[in-house]
Amino acid sequence: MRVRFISIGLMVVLLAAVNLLLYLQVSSFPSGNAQQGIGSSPSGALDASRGIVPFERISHVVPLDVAFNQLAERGLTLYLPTELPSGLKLMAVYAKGRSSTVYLPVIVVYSSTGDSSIDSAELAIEIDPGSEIAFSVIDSSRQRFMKLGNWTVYVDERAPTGGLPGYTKKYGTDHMLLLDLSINGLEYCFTFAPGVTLDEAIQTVASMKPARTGTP
Amino acid sequence: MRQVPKSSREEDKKMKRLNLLNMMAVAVVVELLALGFSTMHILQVYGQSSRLYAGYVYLGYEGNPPAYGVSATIFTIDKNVLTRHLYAQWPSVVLRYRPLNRIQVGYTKGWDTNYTLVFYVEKNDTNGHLLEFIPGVRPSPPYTYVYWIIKNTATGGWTAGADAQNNLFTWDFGVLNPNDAKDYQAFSKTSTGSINIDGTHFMSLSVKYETYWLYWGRHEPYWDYPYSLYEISHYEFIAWGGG
Repeated sequence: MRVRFISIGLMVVLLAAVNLLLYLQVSSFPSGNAQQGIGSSPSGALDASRGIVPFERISHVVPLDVAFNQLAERGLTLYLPTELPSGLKLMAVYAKGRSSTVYLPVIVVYSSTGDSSIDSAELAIEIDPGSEIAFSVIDSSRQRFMKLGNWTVYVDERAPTGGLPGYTKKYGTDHMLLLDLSINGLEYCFTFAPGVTLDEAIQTVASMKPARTGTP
Repeated sequence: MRQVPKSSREEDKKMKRLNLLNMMAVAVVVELLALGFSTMHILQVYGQSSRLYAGYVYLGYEGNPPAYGVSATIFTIDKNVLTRHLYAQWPSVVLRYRPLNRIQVGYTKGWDTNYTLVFYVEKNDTNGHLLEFIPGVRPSPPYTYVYWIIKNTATGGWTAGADAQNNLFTWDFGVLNPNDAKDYQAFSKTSTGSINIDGTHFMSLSVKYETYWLYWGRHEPYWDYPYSLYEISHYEFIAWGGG
């Protein structure tokens, strides 16, 4: 009887060890792959897009002051909004690459719910090199240029996301409010999630000032 | 010598048997739970659709990236693809990261190509998404093809294509919205880590200035588990793993 107890005990211990090893190996996979990488659309349809690598995977988060100080050293002044739609707070600044150098593009993300994902945050500002607006008016029912002081701003009230699974899952739509403008050699592309009105978006863009510590 | 009553001995045996059964039942339940837990994790990584990459992102110097296009010479691999999955190898022009606007040309094999190798072009801009499989010509392993995407310096329109000894196909996208290259990428992409990409080889990654091409001068490597990347130079890499 004792022998049987011992052998069953050994079997249980052995199986537990195998399970533990299996679990440790699988759970050590990069979490970004298992969670971010879910490629099916929220509806469960197969993902046909051959896609590009999302910016979050090829960038690193930098403190805002590091971003604007480094860009300033290279003669680039970073502008950011000083007024934001109700509840939005700065969540993260992503800069291209993995080194400590801040390369463009830079994407600044704002959220009212603590969402720091580029895919799904309520507001993202993509900052690229660009001395002019790269967009044009193709569909005048939703796209137009407008003047905002000295700035020309491109507005697309229903721009397709281009395939951001996290965005579609969170908001149930594939469209976003897009405003784009160029200031001193940098192009700023604002994309707002549903819930932010066009007036609020315009007010946000109009409030842009050279970045300083303490910008909301 | 103390005699133990027979009935008590039998009860003792019964209790031991019951304990043994209880232990076995507990062991089975624990085992099933643990296996289920591990299986869920495996399915999460391998069973579902993912977007897994291995390759290079262009890293320029300050200012705009070269505005007029990208090209890559890619060795063709023919690999097994599970039902509902795909892989693709391509260079790409990034027009924006949010929204995710881009132009792409390459070859692919997957659920929507009837699991055969095909050339394809893809674009996604604010006017919509287009994915086209090129009819009439097919990539055949083990040949290499030169894939390119260029912007016309006069009209601003984008054209993509592939060459072998001569031109295989071209695809005219016209002017896109947005229309400026903000970044370049060259990657192998799979929808699951169960696809093996051994043999992946990208060469001569180049960017186009107004009138000439230059090899990539800097790059940022990136790869997802279970793939690996060997950086031969700023403009050449091999990748493997998976399956």
